Amino acid sequence: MEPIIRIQNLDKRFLISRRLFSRKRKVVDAVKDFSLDIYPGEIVGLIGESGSGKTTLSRLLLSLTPASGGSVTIGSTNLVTAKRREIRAVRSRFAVVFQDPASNLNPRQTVEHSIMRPLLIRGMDKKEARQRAREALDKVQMAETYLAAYPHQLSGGQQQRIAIARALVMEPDVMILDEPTSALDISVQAQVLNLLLDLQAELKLTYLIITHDLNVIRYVSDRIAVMYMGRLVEIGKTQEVLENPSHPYTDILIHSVPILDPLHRDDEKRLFPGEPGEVPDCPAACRLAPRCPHVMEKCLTSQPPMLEVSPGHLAECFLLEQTV
Amino acid sequence: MDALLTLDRLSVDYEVSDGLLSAVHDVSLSIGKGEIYALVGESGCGKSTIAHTIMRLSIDHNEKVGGQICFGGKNLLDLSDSEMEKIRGKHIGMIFQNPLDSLNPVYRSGTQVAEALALDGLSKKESRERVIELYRDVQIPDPEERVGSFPHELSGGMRQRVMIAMMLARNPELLIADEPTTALDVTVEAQILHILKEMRDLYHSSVLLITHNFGVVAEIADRIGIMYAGELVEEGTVFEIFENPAHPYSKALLSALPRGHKSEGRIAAISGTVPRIMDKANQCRFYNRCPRAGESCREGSPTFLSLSETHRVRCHPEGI
Repeated sequence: MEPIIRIQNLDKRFLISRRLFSRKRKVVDAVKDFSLDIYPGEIVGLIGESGSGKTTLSRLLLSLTPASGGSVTIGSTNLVTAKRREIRAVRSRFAVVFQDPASNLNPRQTVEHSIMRPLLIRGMDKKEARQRAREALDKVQMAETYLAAYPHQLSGGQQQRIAIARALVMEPDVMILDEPTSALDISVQAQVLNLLLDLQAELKLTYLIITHDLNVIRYVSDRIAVMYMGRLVEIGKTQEVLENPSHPYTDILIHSVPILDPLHRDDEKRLFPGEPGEVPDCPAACRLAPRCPHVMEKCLTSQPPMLEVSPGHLAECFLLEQTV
Repeated sequence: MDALLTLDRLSVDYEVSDGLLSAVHDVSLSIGKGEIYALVGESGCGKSTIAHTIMRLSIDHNEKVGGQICFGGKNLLDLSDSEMEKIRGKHIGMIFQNPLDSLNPVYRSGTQVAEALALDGLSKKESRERVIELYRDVQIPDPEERVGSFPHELSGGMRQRVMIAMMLARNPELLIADEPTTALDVTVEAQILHILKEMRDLYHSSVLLITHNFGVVAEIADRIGIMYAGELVEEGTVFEIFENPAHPYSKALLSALPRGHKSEGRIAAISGTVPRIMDKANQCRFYNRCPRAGESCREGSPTFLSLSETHRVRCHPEGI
């Protein structure tokens, strides 16, 4: 099957001043050598801690920020090198839903206006746009009466449904969901996750779900991609990655999440020293080297390659050279 | 077990434009020495209001507090502001979700911790040594260096450690932790939970943990109180609640947690939203969302039913 999005060796560097007014700049690799194919109809969960580059990656996919290198291919268009008009044509196949629904809706416009706006910008006439807004609202299981409501009259869960409706109205193929349920309560999170799964099945959508919540990823995604400091460190089928984590970071991440059963509370915990963001001294070193419990000599001087654990399950670690 | 803190029929109402908003209603519970008690619920259930009321941090004058908060033989609600000042920090310490809001950006982190010690009359040199010792207790690397760091130079996890150190500096009997790990990454969350547990074992402090995260609760709590719309609806040991939740809301909440993969079946969502409770409507607060609601649920708020010595639930016998 042809991938719907093909990301190859994508790089994004930011230059940061070391001090205020200083000319000296520090290079930060927010996304480094990132490759991932996303296939039509699948749900890929991208997990990582803060600062791992998850959100930068989603911004690159939407061409909201220019890439420093590599390519993002959708159909025959490479977003990194394409002209603005070509990007716009491809972008209509994408929709995005962000974490905080309240900040994404215009507080002074009604729900109907917010949902219709992207259609009107595209030149659709008002009557048709109104009809489409109605259908979208129906898809997210909200009554038509909410069309006249303002965002502040809605609960967090309802606001997130509106944000989803607005994404759906453009009839996208791919939805990028950046922490779609992090701001929601447990009972509402369950409603929204189930709604997203229903929509995906009904409309044959492809999802890239970005989150730091392992339980959410485990529930919804078909494949998991683990990111650490800008790099993809492990990718594979959800169950396989969770049962057989092959990168030390994935392993620690899984074992850091509290288990929802007090009977297992005394199970051996793998406390992971340090915090995300500790940069190794040598730029070529594995990014995890300063925190890794299995660090070896060569990890400090060279970047481990992506190795296959089993078909479709890959991890970027020297430890696998011994086992593979 | 000796109770360190007892809430007796605590209620908090806010005067709003259209009447009295019941934020906390008739909450009675007690926390024993050396115990970690978790108050769990969704946003707006009143759990943070309880914490703020215990610390007497609410400054709004449009609130009405009823009932008693007994701590060390006194009712905290009767104390004058200056008497309460002596309890805060010294006997009851508190940490919040976002440590950056609690730290002063223009002072070095160590100075701020030392400030707490100065209240107990330690000299400058003594307090510096004590701060370094405290930093070591909360596992801050290079404590000698770090006492000189400003809050913005520290990561989120480090800041939360500084807050814990500041709280421990005065060795209070009760720690109130309001969503202490919500803003942190999971690997850092695990470190902080580990520290909280160690501190309990080391200093025998009691902890009132306020959270919406059941994972955190399963990890460190001894007992759990589940709150809904301002009321305590169920209380029990962590094992009782997780293995045998009795209240329809607790059951629904626990089954709404994503645990497995979608192929193993959908998680059960709770329909509807939390109601806004005005003027103490005289019916069960979960009535409009409860799958087992019956006629009797509309006739007055249910009272507590005892299921074991430690397990009680606010529901009618036919509901559980």
